[in-house]
Amino acid sequence: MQHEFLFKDEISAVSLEKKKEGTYLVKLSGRVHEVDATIPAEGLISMLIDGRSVLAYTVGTEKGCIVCIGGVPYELGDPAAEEECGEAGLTGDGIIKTPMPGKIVAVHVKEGDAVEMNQPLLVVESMKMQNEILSDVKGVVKKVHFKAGEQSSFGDSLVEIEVEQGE
Amino acid sequence: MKKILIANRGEIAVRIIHACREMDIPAVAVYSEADRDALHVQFADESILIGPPSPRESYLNIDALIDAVRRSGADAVHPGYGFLAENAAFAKRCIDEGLVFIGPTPEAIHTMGNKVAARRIMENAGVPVVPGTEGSGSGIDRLLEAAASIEPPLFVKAAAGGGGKGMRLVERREDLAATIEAAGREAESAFGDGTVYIEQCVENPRHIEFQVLADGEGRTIHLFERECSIQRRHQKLVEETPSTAIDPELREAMGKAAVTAAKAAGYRNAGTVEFLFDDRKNTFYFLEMNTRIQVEHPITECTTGVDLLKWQIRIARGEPLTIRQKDLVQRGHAIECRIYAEDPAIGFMPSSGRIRFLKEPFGPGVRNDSGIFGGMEVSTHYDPILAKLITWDETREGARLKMITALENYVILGVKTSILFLRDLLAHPDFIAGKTRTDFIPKHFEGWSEDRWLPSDGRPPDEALIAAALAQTLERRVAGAPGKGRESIPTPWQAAGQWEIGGGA
Repeated sequence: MQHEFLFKDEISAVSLEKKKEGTYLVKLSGRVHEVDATIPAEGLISMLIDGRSVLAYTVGTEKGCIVCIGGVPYELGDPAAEEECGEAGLTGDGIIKTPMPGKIVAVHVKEGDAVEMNQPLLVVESMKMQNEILSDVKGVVKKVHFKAGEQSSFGDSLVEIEVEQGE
Repeated sequence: MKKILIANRGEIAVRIIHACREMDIPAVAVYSEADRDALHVQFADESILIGPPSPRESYLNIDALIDAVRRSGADAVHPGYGFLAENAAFAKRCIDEGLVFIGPTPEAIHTMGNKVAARRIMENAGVPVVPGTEGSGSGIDRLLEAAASIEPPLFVKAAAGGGGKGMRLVERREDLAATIEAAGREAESAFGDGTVYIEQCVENPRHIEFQVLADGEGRTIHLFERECSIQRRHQKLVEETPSTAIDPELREAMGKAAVTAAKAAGYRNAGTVEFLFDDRKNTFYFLEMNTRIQVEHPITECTTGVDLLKWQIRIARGEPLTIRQKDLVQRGHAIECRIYAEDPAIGFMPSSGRIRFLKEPFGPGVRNDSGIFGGMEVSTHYDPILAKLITWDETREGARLKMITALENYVILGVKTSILFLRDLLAHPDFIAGKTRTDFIPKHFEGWSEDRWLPSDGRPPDEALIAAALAQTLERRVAGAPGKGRESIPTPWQAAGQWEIGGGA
C-alpha cells in the first residue's frame, strides 16, 4: 500500500507490503527496508528496521501527524488534506486568522481602509509578548471582528479583506 | 500551621504542594477560569476559583486571594515566584489578616525592591556594588554630576525595576541626559515610580547568585552559588552549580558577602543575592536581592541535599535554622534547563496550543519539576514555562551528558518548545569548556533553526516516514492518524483494538 506525506512542500512516498503479522517490506526513495513493528501503547511505535531498534512517538494533528524520533519532531502533512485547504482558499483569500490565540491589544485598521500587502493590521499579545499581524493580501478592509482588549482563540478570523483583483 | 494556600500556578505551585504533602500540611490551590484543568488544581487537596484568566483579575488580585484564604480556612500563604511573590503590600496584607506569609518581612521585600535603597544598604554594609549613583530624586543635574566620574557604557536603571526590566544602555555620555528623561518617563508609567539611577555597565559579565537561608533569629547561611549567565531576553534559560568561573577562595568571599547582604537587609526565609562577576578582573558586585524562592532553586537542592521549600515552611512557622554553615558542602554538579513553550527560531516567541503527546524523561540523577500533562492546553495568559529539567552527577561533564540524554527523551508534541535548542546549547564547545557569559546565546546562536536537525538532503529521515506509514496501517482506529482527521480519544474498546496489530482489521 502506498502512503504519501508532505514535508516542507515536498511529497515523500512510502510503500508498505505486509509480509506476515507485524512484518513489512518498506520501499521509499529507491531504498528497501525490512521492518518489524509493534504498538506497545497508544502513540508509540516500536520498530526493528533491518534489525535496528527505533522508537517513534506519533500523534495526529489537523494537517496530518507529528512523528518524533530521537527527540526530534517531524511534522508530516497529509497531501490530500492540504489540497482541500487550498481549494477552500484559506490563504490569500483576505481572511486574516490568528496564528496564536491571545489578547488583541491594538487594531490599526477599520472597515473601508485600503491595505497593502504586509501592512500591520493588529497586535495580538500572547504570553506577555506582542505580535504584529500583517496582511497577506492587498485590498480593502471589509470587516474587523475584534476590538482592542478582546480575547481571540486559535483560528479565529480577525479581519476580512476584499482582495484587489487583477495585476 | 494547619493549611497552606498557594498563591501561584504551574510547576512552582506543584513543587510547593509536594513540600506541603511531605510535611503533612493540606495544600490549597487557587486557579483562574483558564486553569480549571491545570496540574496544580488536580494535585492540590483543595482548589478555589479566584477569577477570570487575566492575571490582574486572578493571580494578582489580592482581595480575591485573601477571600480564598478565608473560604479555605488556610492560615498560611506561599507566594511562589512571580505574580505577588515580591509585592510588599501582599505580604503585609497577609500579616494584617493574621496569616503567616511564607517569605521575608514586608519591610525587607520593600527595601530590596527599591534598587537604589538596596544599593545603599549594601554599600554601607561593605558589600561591593557596581559603581553608580543615588536616585534621580534631587534632579537630573545632580544625577549627571554624580555620573561624571563613571566611564560609559552606562546603564540608566529604574529604581523600581529589576530582573532586566526598566534598564537602558548608554554608550556615549552626550546621550545620557536624554536617556535619563526617557527612562524616567518609562519607569513612571511601568512602575508608578519615575526614579532612575545610573550604574556602570559591566560588559559581558557572568551572572552568579548565592542562595541564602535566614531564620530571622540571627542565623543566616548561604548554600553556595548558581551560575545563571545563559539568558535570552534577560531571562535565564540554563543554570548550573557550581560555577566554572569561581575558585574556592572567591566562593568563600562571595558567600560571606551574600550572608552580610542578607543580614544587612534584615532578611528572613529563603532569598537570593545576585552578583555580577567580571571574570577578566576577578571582581564581583552586588546586583540585587530576590526576596523569594527562585525558579532555579532545584540545582541547589541537588548539590547540597537541602530541601529549600521545606525550610521556607519551617522558618515561617518559627523553627530555628539548624543547618550550620560548616556542615554544608557542594556535592557533585547540577544543571537545570528551563523547558518553555516557545520557538527559539523566531526570537523565542511564545507558542501555545494543546500538548497532544507527552513523555517525560526519568532515570538516575534526573529531576523533572513539571506543570504539564498530556492533553493540556497551553494558555496564552501566563508565562510559557512548562517544566524544569534538572540533572545531577558527580562531575559537570556527567551532568551535561545526562542532561542531553534526558532532553532526547523529553517528548512534547503539539506545541513548539526549546528542547532541541537546549540540546544544541549543551553540546556547544564553549558550554563544554564552561565559557558561559551573558552574551552566550546571541553570540553563538544567532539565526538558529531546528532545520539543522534534518538529514542533509532536507527531507525527513526514512524512520519518520516509515513510522507515519505504519501509524496509518497499524492504527486505523487511532485518533488523528494522518488522513483520518479524527480527534476523538478512542473508547476503551477502540483502544483495546490497537494492541492487536493488523489483527481482524
